[in-house]
Amino acid sequence: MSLIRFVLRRLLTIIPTLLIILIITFFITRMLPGDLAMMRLNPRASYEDYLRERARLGLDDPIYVQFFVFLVDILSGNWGVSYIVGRDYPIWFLIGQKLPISLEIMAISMIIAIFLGIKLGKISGAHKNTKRDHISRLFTYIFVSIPAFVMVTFFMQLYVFTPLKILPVFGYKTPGYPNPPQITNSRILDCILSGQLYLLVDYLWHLIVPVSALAIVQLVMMSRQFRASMISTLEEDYIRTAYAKGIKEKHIVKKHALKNSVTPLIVVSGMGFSAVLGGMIAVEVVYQLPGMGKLFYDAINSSDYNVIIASVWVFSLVVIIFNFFSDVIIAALDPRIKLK
Amino acid sequence: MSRTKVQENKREIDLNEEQPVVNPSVISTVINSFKFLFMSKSRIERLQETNLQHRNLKKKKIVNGWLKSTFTFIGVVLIIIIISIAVFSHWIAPYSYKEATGVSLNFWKPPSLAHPLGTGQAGRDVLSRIIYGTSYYLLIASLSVSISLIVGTFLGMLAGFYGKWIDSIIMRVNDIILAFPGIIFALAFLAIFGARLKYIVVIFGVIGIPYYARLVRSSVFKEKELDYIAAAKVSGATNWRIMFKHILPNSIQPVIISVSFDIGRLLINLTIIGFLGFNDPNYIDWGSDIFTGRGHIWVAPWATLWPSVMILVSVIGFMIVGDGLRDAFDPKYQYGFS
Repeated sequence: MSLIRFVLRRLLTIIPTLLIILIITFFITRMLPGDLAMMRLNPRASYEDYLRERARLGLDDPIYVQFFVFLVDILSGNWGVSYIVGRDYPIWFLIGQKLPISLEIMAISMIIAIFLGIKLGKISGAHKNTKRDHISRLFTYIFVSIPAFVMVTFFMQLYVFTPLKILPVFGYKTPGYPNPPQITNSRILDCILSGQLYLLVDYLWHLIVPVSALAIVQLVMMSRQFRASMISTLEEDYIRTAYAKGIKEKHIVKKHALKNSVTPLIVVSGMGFSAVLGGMIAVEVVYQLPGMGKLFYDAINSSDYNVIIASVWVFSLVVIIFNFFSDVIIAALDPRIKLK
Repeated sequence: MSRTKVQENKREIDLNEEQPVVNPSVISTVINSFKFLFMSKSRIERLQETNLQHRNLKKKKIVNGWLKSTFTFIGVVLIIIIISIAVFSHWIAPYSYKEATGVSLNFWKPPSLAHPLGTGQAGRDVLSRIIYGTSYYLLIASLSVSISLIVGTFLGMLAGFYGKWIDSIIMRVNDIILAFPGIIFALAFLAIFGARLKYIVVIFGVIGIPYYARLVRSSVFKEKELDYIAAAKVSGATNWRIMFKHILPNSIQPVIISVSFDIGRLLINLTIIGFLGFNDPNYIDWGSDIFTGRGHIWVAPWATLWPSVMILVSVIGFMIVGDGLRDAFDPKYQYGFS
């Protein structure tokens, strides 16, 4: 019951955040060089269309009317048209196509990172200051200091410098392979639903390099955090009690300490998510993946303002939703947080 | 404290004359110059002894916790090297800034005596470019970290000291900024208003503010309940004096630790920004060097490799020193890394 109340209260705190993001994006649109109504219109539109759009946006009205129109536009999915990047497609449609690819990459890499990060952090936290700990710390130091796109740049050379040519060089599918029929927007789901498993295998094979680079970046962050929280958990009184009872060390680490040191890990993965987004953009650019990051990169390089603002909005929404879920998971795991 | 109580305390001290002074490090500097006037010789010797013990203990603690760790030592050496490269870049670099940004015909050439690390795009010397890039990155990092440090500490201090509505307003805004994907906003802003040094510094400074405000606020909360603050209040110190003379020096520790991590994180973000083409085009930076070198990586791997190595080395340095500082100051510190 208290969890439901916590979720509702947490949902309420999202509203001011969303409002502030809306206000910032609104003021960015008003500060843009050029005419806003012209920007939202097709180049082939007539002068009457321009006047109509101008009246609709309320550019001659007071600023709160403009903000209201802006709000209604965003909430109803009327995000304008992308002229340069998306060749006159509506942005809503473009983002529906690109976002699933980015979300798939993020989800797969995050699952791998959590799984391996806990393993690695457990090893170096439970065996503090041993040889194993030092080796894994050295590993984390090295990989926390390389941006993901640099890793991808060098992983891509594996294709050239290994004789077997196991990994693809770039892209998300082998040239000449068909796309699966579009049922949902997610490529993985499409492949499974239409039964074309060879396309799924091909897709996952192409994702190995970018996903592993993003996973390593997050894994290292998580294992560092998990090591710290493992060490502090192992100093608690109930662990000493467990030792005094004569329980084996392996069992103590696995059953007693592990569960209680997971919560800070989720905090870090929630906070690190927005930090990893920057890396994801660069990785998508390097590896030529047609995701949200590539769209955003193309938009900022060609000054496609409608797309820039829409993707800022989408990215913030994704981050906010992710943080919301991580908070809810923490509250469900740790009853102390709900009481605050 | 009332006057009678002070007098009582004084009498107590007079009565317990035989006991050694426990905390000599504070008083000794004052006493040392006049001690022969009011102290017996044996007392001076005892004082010096405890002073020595105290110093040895302190030294031992630092040596054990911090410098003895080989990791930290390596990190400190790396940071010193990186900072000196940045500061003396114009003297160290084999080619001048003009030549490093100019055009010559020997492009993508392998390492030779004239170009120790080879040449990159348009025949620019890779070694000179990574040296100038270091100074640019550290300039931005230090400026924007100091912006977020100063503003964040100030806001955190206000929020923690006054509490109530000031606290709730500042922390609400903080939470909102923390919920933003910072680098996306930075990129969008730079794309719309142009990639200039001042914008980059200000944007990354603003993004960093909430971390510091949060850290300072939590330690101010702990600190302001202590007795010495009450004593300062009673003796008539103003709020500003209490905040910045009494609380600040005692709550700055976690901030100093996180500065090192923050610089490391910022360097990675700057390379990403540079790679995507949004660092100030008037300066040399590693990210855009990697971007241009990437297309020719099969012909000239050195043009991509060396900037990447510089990122690795500098970020590792700051991360290791951050870890070392954290271990030395506070072994149970949990949320320092983000």
